[in-house]
This record gives sequence, C-alpha cells and structure tokens, in this order.
Amino acid sequence: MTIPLLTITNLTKIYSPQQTPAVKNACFTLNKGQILTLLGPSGCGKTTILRAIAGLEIPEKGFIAFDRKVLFNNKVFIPPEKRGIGMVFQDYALFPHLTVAQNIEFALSKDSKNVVKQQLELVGLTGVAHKYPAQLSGGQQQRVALARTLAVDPKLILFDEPFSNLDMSLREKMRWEIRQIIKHTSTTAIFVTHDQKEALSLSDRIIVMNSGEIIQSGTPRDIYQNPANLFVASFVGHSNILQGTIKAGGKSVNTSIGNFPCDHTHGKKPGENVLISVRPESLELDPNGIIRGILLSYFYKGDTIDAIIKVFSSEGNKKLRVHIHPEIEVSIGQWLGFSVLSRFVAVIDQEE
Amino acid sequence: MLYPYKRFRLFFRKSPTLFILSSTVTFVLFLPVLYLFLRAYEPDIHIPSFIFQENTLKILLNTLLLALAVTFSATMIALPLAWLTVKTDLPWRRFWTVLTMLPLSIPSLIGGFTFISALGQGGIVHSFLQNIFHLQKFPNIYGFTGAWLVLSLLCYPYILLSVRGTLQKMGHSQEEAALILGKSRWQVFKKITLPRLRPSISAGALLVTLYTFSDFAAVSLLQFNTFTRAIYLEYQGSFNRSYAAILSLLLVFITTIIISLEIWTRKKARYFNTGSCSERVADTIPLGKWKVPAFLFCSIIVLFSVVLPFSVCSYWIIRGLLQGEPLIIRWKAVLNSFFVSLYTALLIIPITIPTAFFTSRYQTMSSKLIEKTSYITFALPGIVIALSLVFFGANYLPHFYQTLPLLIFAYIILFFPQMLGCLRSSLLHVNPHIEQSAFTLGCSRQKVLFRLTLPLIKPGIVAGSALVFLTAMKELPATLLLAPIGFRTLTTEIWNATTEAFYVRAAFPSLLLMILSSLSLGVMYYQDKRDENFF
Ligand SMILES: Nc1ncnc2c1ncn2[C@@H]1O[C@H](COP(=O)(O)OP(=O)(O)OP(=O)(O)O)[C@@H](O)[C@H]1O
Ligand SMILES: [Mg+2]
Repeated sequence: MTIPLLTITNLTKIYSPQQTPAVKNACFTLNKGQILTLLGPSGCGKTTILRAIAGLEIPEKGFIAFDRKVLFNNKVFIPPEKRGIGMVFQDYALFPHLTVAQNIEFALSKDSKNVVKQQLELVGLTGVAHKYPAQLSGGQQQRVALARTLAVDPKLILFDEPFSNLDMSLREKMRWEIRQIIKHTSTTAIFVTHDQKEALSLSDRIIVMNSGEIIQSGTPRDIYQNPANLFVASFVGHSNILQGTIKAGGKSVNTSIGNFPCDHTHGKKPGENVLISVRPESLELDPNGIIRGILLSYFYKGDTIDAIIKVFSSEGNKKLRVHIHPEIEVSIGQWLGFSVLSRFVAVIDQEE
Repeated sequence: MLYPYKRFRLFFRKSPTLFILSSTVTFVLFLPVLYLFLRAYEPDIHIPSFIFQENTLKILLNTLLLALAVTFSATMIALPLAWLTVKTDLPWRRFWTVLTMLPLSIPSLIGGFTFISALGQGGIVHSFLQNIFHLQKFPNIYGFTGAWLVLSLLCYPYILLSVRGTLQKMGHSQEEAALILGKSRWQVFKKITLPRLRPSISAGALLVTLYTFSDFAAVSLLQFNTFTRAIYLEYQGSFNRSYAAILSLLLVFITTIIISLEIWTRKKARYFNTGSCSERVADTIPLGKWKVPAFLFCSIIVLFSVVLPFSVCSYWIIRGLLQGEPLIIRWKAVLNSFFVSLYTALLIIPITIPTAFFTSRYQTMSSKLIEKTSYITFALPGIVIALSLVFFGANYLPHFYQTLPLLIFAYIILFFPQMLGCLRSSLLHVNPHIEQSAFTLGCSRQKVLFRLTLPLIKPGIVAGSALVFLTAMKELPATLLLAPIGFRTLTTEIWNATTEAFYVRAAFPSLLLMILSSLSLGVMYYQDKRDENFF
C-alpha cells in the first residue's frame, strides 16, 4: 500500500469561541498526482482547510502529515516557509512592484535564471516577462501566479478559488489549461471552489463540505450519481427528491408516482422508508415510459431543454425536473412519458 | 482597501526582537512625560495648595472658557458652510470648498502674528488711523477677544471637514418624509437633520477643543492666560518650576478627559452612520433669494481666515522691501529650521518602523498597549512635552540640555505618533496575501520584510517623513524651550519679531511657513488617495 502524500486527521479550527467551529473534525487523505477539490457553499470552511494545510492558520486540534513529515499536531507546527506547499490565491497576490520575471524568480536561488524562461513558456506567457502585474489581464496574472508557484517546484499546490476573478469563457479555458499543466508536471493539487461544474470537470476526487464538516468524498461520478444525502443532491446539480419504500431484492424503490429502479441503496434494507434522489438525466423521454406527466414549463438551453413536468398520483401530485433532447419540439400542457435509468437514482440519507 | 489585523494574523509569528525594539522606543519616548509626574512631587511642596490657589483656578477657568467659546463659534461658522457647500446651489461651490479648508495650513503662530500686526499697537490699522486721524486711544485687542477670534477662524475647518463627510453621504428621505407630515423646515432641521449630524459635529468639536487646549502660540501672543501660556511664563520666570509641572499635569488631565470623550463618540458614531450610504443622495437645494447672503457669508469667512493672513504678510514684506529693511530674510534661521527638521524627518524613520510593524502585524496585549501609549502623546500639548524634556534634560542629561540632539529628540517625541499613524496606515493597506504567498514560496521573514513589505510601503515612508519635516518646520514651544542659546529658527524669528512689534521681520518667515503648510496639506491629500488606489 502506498502512503498518501497528505494525511489530515480530525482537523478542527475555531476562530472565536462564540461561533461554531469553521472546520470540525475533518479527515481525508490525498495521493500523489491527484487533483482534489473542496466543494461547498460560501463560509463552509474550505479556505480555512486550505490555509491550515499551507500553514497560514494554526488549527485548534488535529493532525497534518505531508510527504512523510508531520506538519502539525498538538506539539509540532511547521511554519509555511518550511512546508514546501505552494498556494495560488484568489487575488493572485502578485508582487506589484516587481516585473513578471522578478515575480517568478523571487523565491529562487541566484543560479536558476533559465527556470523563469521555462516557466513562462510552460504557462504560455513568453512576451510579458518585463511587464508589471498591473499591466496584465486577469488571465495573464493568474498564469504568472501559477508560474511563480510552479517555479519553486512544490510537491503540492493549493488553489483558492483560482478562477472566480475571470469571466466565463476564460474560466473554462484556464481550467482546462491548468489541469493540463498540473498533470504534465505530475504535481498534486487541491482546489477550492463553490462552483459545482468546475469541481466536476476539474477533479479526480471531490470533497463536499457544509458548515465546517465533510459531507461526502468521492470521484465526480460518484458524487453526481450517488449523492450521500439531501444536501449533496441539491448542492451538486439538480435533483428530484422523492419518498418511497425499498422493494424486495433491494434493486428498486416504490414511490407514490411509480417504481424507480435503483443501483445504490445506501445500505438500506428492503421495506425501509427512504428518500431517493432522481437526477434529471435518469429520466429519458420515452412515449412508453412508466412516468407520465404534463409539461408545466421549460427552458431551451441550447444543449438541452430543462423542463418541469407534473405527475399525478393518488397521494398528491409531484413536480419533476427532466432534461429533453433539444431537437425535440415540445409545448406547455403536452403529455410526456419517461423511462428511468437506474444509474442516476440513489437512496440518500434523510438528514442534511 | 484596508485590511484588518485578523487577515495578517500569524505573520512574523512571535518576534521577540520586534517586541523589545518597539517597547524600548515607546518607553524612551514616553519617559520624559512620566518624569513630569515625579517632578511635581517635591517633598517641600504641598500640591493641593497649589492646585486650589486662586491663580490656578483662574487659569483653568480661562482655558475652559476659551475652549468653549472657540468650539461654539467654530461650529457656528462650520455648520452653514458645510451645508452651503454640500447641499445647495451656491455659486462656485468647489472654489469655496477648497478655500474654506485653507486655514488648516495657517499655524496659530502666524494667525496670532497677522492679527496683531494688523490690529495691534504699531499694526496696519493702528498706524493708518494714527497718521490720518491722529487718534490716540484704541480698543484692547489682547486677551480673550483676540484669542477667541483667531482660534475660531483657524479651527472651524476641523468641524467643517467632519460634517461635510457626513452630509455628502446623507440623503433627504427622512427630511422629506417629515416635511410631508407637515413639519416646518426649521422643525425638520432641529428634529431630524441636526440629530443625524450630531456625531460628526461632536467629533469635529472635540478636535477643536483639543486644539484650543494645546495651542501655545496664539494665546501667548495675544496674552490670554490659559494653561499653555501660564506654563511658559512659570518656566521662564523660573522661580518655581514645580508649579509649571503641576500646571502641565492639570492640562494633561483635562486633555485626557477630552480624548476619552473623543474615543467614546467615535465608537458611537459607528452605530449612527450605518445604512446612510445606501440612501439616495438628494439633488441640490435651490437657495433662491438667499443666494446673495450665503455668498456674502462665505466671502467674509474666507476673507478673514485666509485672505487676510496672506495679505497682511505681503503688506509687511512689501513695506520692508520698500524701506530697504536689511533683516527681512535671515537665511541663517531658514537653514537652521531646514536642517533640524531634516534630521528629525530622517531619524524618525528607523525609530518608528519597528513599532509600526509590531502594532499592525501583531495583536497582543503589549502591541495594543504600545499603540495606545503612543497615541496619548499625540494629544499632549507640545509645551508639556517640551517642559518635561527641560526637566529631564537638566537633571539627567546635562550635557545634552539645550543642544540640538535634545531638540531633535523632542521633535521625535512630538511627531512619533503622526509618523506611526502614517506607516501603520500604509502597512494595513498592503494585501496580506502578498506576504503570505511569499511565505508559501519558501521565503524567509527577513526576505519578505526587506524585499516585499518595506519596498511596498516606501511611498508611505516618504510621505510620512515629508509630513514630519513640514510639521517640524512649524513647531514653536519645544523650539523656544529647548533650542540652544542663540539658535534661531523660522518660528522663533516670528515669535521674537511679533513680541517686539518688529512685524517686517516676521512677515517673510510667516509667508514661507504658510506655503510649506499648504504643501503638507497636499501631501496628506495625496497619501489618502494613493492608499485607496494603490493595491
Ligand atoms: N480570520 C477569521 N476570523 C474569524 N472568522 C473567520 C475568519 N476567517 C474565516 N472565518 C469564518 O470561518 C468560516 C469559514 O470561513 P472560510 O473562509 O473557510 O469559508 P469558505 O468556505 O472559504 O467560504 P467562501 O466560499 O466564501 O470563500 C466562516 O463562517 C467565516 O466567517
Ligand atoms: Mg474562501
């Protein structure tokens, strides 16, 4: 078994005794070469975890080990400059009085001048070496920040919402480029974001957090297809939440509007009352499908049609969110039928 | 953008060097003031009998009366000015805005000089009336009236500044609501506008009170016996220096009360101001037939507080030139002032930096204590600090007494808080992520300090030092008490010339100082703007 590059156990950070802890008993590990994303709503403690790893906050309790060394426990605190962990800040924190080249070589020893050129090439910024940060665009500044961090060759790089200052189109491009660079240099990285799309497309692994606690950890596919509870189901993507009973055999759940096949029963026994999350993707337009309802409203989004249908049943009507292929013409009030794909249906925990 | 301390937390974690450096500096700078307390306790002196003697009570009464009168009249000048220049369609509003601030650049020494040289014995009006009408009797301009007039005209901008700030953010919706409910305009003003302005009025008024308490030059020239003048006279008479010390302590005591009041109102003002930003800022109010009186009012204030001092100076300079007065410029005094101020401005930089770092990058009991201590000295009248150094120097540093090093030491004590404020503000404007990212890149504290933080706050250091230079040029009481025998500066020139009614000789240094002070206003303005935009 390989030893993880980073191990965090029971990390707790309390800013002030009156508040609830910013981070409560967080535990996770990270292997070399992986990209991990901390995902969660604003104020859930993502930045705090990142800063604790970098050594910029002193946790109240817990254990952090990195690269076979203890960085923090109740006796040890290694200061940030001795950790060898790089961090790219949301505001890039470039040194405003130094040129791009001086920024990159700032932390390097004298004899490593050609590193600057290499790094600028790597991030595609050869032309701007002698400009000052204020003369660069947001995307360029971010690349300088990345190059500056890569130049000192850290084993782990932390990114705190690195894309939030960029506009939409640039954001996607930078996301892809940075992922390429990280993979290319086989660095390990932790990203922080509250953008679920970003998390899904960027990471090898996602940790979903809410109010200081880790809710679920898994691959993007895991998180999306099998959300652990109501919070994850509604925070990551959209989901229809239904109540039902697990049927004998544990392969499907019976609800008021029909029977939903289900791959992931979250360890629940047949006969138990459960909540299920049904992703819009699991409902496929099918004239012979078992779920039938009338179209209440829809948005044409180009790549899909995002629609709400109303399904009638004896125990009250239900609204379901579905996706329809954009090629199909629909109109409000129309009756539509859907069949269910079991991969996007999951039993979830009752509590948030 | 200003970054509160908590975003810097942890940096330069535990630094005994900084702690020792900054607490030593603060202690040494505060030492003479502490010594004043010792000095007041002489075994053979019965302090209460000093405090409760008639003379002391008279001085106390004079000081309080003057402060009250000046504060009141300055408010009466500033309120209408603020309203007119912010809220109404007064013609040339920008022009008035700038001109009504200019008294800030007139030191009270020069206010006193121009007043006396215009109206006093042998002054412009006096000689004019004497030559034309052969009048012999003149009203006495010395004493309360003179001091009150001069200080009111010099101080009102403090209230104007703070009230303008509030008015600019204040919309009309509450006033409009009250008008609709059928209240008269006067009622609306009294019941709604005034209460909303009260925090900023009292903030400015407290500054004016402090100014009046600590002013030495104007009250001394105009011979009104308040604490500062009495202290100087006691010191000069030198038959009883303990009494001077006791008077100083009393002055420190009433000053402390005012400072506590100030801190308290500032805390309260924070609650009052919330929400006012989002309010729609209303259109200007038409003045209608009141336009002419309003215009006249502004003109009169500006005439007396700005135009007059400049013209009086110019008058004496021209007269001196016409008469071929040989002493119109004493370059020696200019050079002396220049070099003493320059040494002070340079020396104060390394002395202040450790404390600025310690109080902006740490938040411990000791850093807060050090910060508070240094701001207390800021409010202490210059004459008190000067006197404490006289005692201290005469007793413990006899070799330094009445030498330049001691004078520069006094200047450093006097201007340390100002420099500290300037550096702290620069330090708090540096984005903490800049230092933090350097740490995550593996840079040592020394490297971060010398290659990042200090270069980033360099403009703040330069501006702060320039301000100290300009303020030192204007300093009077410490210079009078501590300068080596025969050492003339610009301010002592003005002082001596005015007291000897030799106005021609005071005119040129006065004009020079007014120009230099306008420069310092400019530096402050520039510093404010830069701190907002730079990072
Ligand atoms: N320096 C601080 N002092 C006191 N409380 C803090 C401090 N920094 C963060 N907090 C609090 O800790 C909690 C977690 O903050 P954190 O910055 O880690 O959230 P986040 O998940 O990064 O949020 P965002 O997405 O908004 O950046 C919040 O409630 C925040 O108010
Ligand atoms: Mg954050």
